[in-house]
Amino acid sequence: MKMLLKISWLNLWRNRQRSIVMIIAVMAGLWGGIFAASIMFGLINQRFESSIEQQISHVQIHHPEFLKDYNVKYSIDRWENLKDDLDSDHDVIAFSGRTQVNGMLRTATLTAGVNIMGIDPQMEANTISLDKNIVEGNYLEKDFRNPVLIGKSLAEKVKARIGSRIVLTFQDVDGELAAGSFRVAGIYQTAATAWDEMHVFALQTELNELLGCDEIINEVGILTHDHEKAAGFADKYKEHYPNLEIRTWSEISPELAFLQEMATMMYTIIIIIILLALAFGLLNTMLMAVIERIKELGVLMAIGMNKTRIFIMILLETMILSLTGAVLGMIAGYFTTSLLGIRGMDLSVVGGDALHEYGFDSVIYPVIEPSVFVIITVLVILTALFTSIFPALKALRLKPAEAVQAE
Amino acid sequence: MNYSVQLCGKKITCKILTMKLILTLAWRNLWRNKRRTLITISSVLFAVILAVFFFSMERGSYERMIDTMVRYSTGYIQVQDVKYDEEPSMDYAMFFDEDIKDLLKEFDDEISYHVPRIESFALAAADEVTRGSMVRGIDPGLENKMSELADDLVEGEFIERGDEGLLIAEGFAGILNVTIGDTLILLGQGFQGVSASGLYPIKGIVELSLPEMNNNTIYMSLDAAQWFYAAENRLTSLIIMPENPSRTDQLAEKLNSKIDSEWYNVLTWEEMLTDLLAMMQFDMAGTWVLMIILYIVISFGLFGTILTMMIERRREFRLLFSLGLKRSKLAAVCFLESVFITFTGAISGMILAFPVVLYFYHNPIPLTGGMAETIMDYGFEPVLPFSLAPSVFYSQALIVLIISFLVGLFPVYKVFKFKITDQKT
Repeated sequence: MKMLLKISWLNLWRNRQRSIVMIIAVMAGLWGGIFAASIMFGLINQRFESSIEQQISHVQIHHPEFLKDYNVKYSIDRWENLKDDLDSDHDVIAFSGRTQVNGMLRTATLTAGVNIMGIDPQMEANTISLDKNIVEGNYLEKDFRNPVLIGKSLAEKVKARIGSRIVLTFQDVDGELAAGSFRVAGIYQTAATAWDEMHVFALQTELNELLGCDEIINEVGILTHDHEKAAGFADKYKEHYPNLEIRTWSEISPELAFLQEMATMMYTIIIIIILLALAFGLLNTMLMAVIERIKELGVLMAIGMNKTRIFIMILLETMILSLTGAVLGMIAGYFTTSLLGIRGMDLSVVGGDALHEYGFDSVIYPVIEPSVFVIITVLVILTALFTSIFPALKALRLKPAEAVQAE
Repeated sequence: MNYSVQLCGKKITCKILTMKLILTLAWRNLWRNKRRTLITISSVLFAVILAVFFFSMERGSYERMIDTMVRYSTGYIQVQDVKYDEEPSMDYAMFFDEDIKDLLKEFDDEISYHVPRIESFALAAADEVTRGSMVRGIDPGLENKMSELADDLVEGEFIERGDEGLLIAEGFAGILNVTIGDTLILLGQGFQGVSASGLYPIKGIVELSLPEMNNNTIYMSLDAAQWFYAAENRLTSLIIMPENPSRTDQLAEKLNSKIDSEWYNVLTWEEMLTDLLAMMQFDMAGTWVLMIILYIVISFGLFGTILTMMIERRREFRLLFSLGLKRSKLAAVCFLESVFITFTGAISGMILAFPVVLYFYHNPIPLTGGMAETIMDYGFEPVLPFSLAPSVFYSQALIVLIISFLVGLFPVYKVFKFKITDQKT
């Protein structure tokens, strides 16, 4: 076996140029594949993280009727109990109870439909890091009268600035129209422009006053330690609070889970396509290697090398050729990805700004999961196996007596 | 072209290596090792088919998306008040006066029809529920011509010109908990800050395909809306549908040069859908990166084949040069070999891909599961449509041309550097 390995290795270097071309091809293909996959993963991971961290959290709790038409009167009735439970739960990092009402925002000249969120500033800062997303002005503070935070895209749309006065009109708990005048205290920006355009944050106490009630909570957002355990966490609360609608991030935003699944599928397809393209080159190279050596193979057979060994020899040559390229490609891919993963890739120069509109960030930090390398190695071995069959069969079909005569 | 020489008393007729002969030689050289050439051609064919398939699919999705947006939302060309695009407020509603009507008449040949709209945000109140909504004043006949709105009617009747009744989007009717015959109170802000209010009966319910629109849209007749917003003879936008959509830009330019630019602004769908177009370009760039990786891999395979062909034929080259063949002629033969391989692959790839793409163009692939839901959330039909745009095909031909040129340079270089006296093999 060791001998065969050595023969195969030396055989490869009999035509150095050709082998090097093939190794570079494998390397370039896999490097490109890994790089493309890492960008895609980077994009999707960032989307996932920003959606969870800045918008939806891990678990949300509502009154079941509330989700149908966002009527403020459907509130969470045992809020005090729930609050105590969440406070003492070790799985919870932070949570925020929100008053949520659908309404209309008006400036001097413009009107827009918005979701008004009445929040406790401290709780919200802990849950969706809203304070860290302020790009202009200040976060909600109690000493500012009637402050609101609006998204950057909304501010641009309605031409509002810090200190601008806006009027929010909505329906109170009794179904009567209520309106309140607010001042823009701060402008925030998350990765999702569309979300920013829809959400306006005001102080819960002030909003509740306008709504004509003491404390009304329509939505609770909960941040836990691990997004994968969100389902178990939700089940636990479903038992205690059967009357509430408790949903995990994957139920609130199924596309998040779907995007990750799709990314895994996509990169597997990409790698398979690249390997298929490589297979043509490998097949040709190995076929040539056999045809060039007909005489030599005949001699080897004539002096007693059995067919299994010839088969293994050709298989090994293909394996060495492709794995050398694959390893080099993976090393190159790993380094490129790690380097860019730290520095980030700014795609805004190539039109990546449009990504914001769809909830992605335009600076991408490519990431690659270690499992990708395992999958690639397995696929490369399969490709090598698959492409060596045909040349090997050709070698096996040679009749030693005739092959020795060949030129 | 033949010429004769006297050699040892015998007359010998020789053929000069003409272009035609060079082509024949290159072609025949390829088939000296049939299997190898076929494998290399298949690799190019494989790449071209994949590339055509992917680009067609991607372009198809975007074409459909743009078509939906143009049809339901922006139209091909919009005329607006100069400030409306920046600040979409009722205060910047444009005057639909005789000048504009004359202008439309002037370009009658090129304009298929125009669709006037006046729209703004207002509160809609039912018995118990009040919600913000997009109240859109339309000319029912013209609007229907553009988006076939009447086909979306699920209950009641479609509105007519001058109608006092409303059409309400199906999702929104659910939220307000209203049905045909109920009355809605609309409250909003009219032209120059006038407060707008009115009572309107619901005449029909329409189901709109974009979920966002389906949950907040109310249609009323143009006259009623102009009265409601106190904006007589004013429009927020005038949509112009050209006779020939592919000449949209030219028409927009002509309109722009004739219109009073102090007051009016002419926008094309490309200017209105910049976000979507930018996203599309970004997405396309991603596909290009992948395809370029694929083509690089294929080029290496092709390079390997050409390299082997050069090595195998050293002896033959020596012979040919010794006989007096000009290097440039042999270089041309070798260069053409690379061109032939890639082009045979590319052309057969396109020929094979065309019927497949054509089939999927007429029968888009239906989607299921999570993907279908995500696409429906964005308001599009959950299918994967294909495009037959010529650029899908010729862009691949262009790439293949570049590849064959680059790879073909190698044997040219080799032929010129070849040493006849080098006795290696």
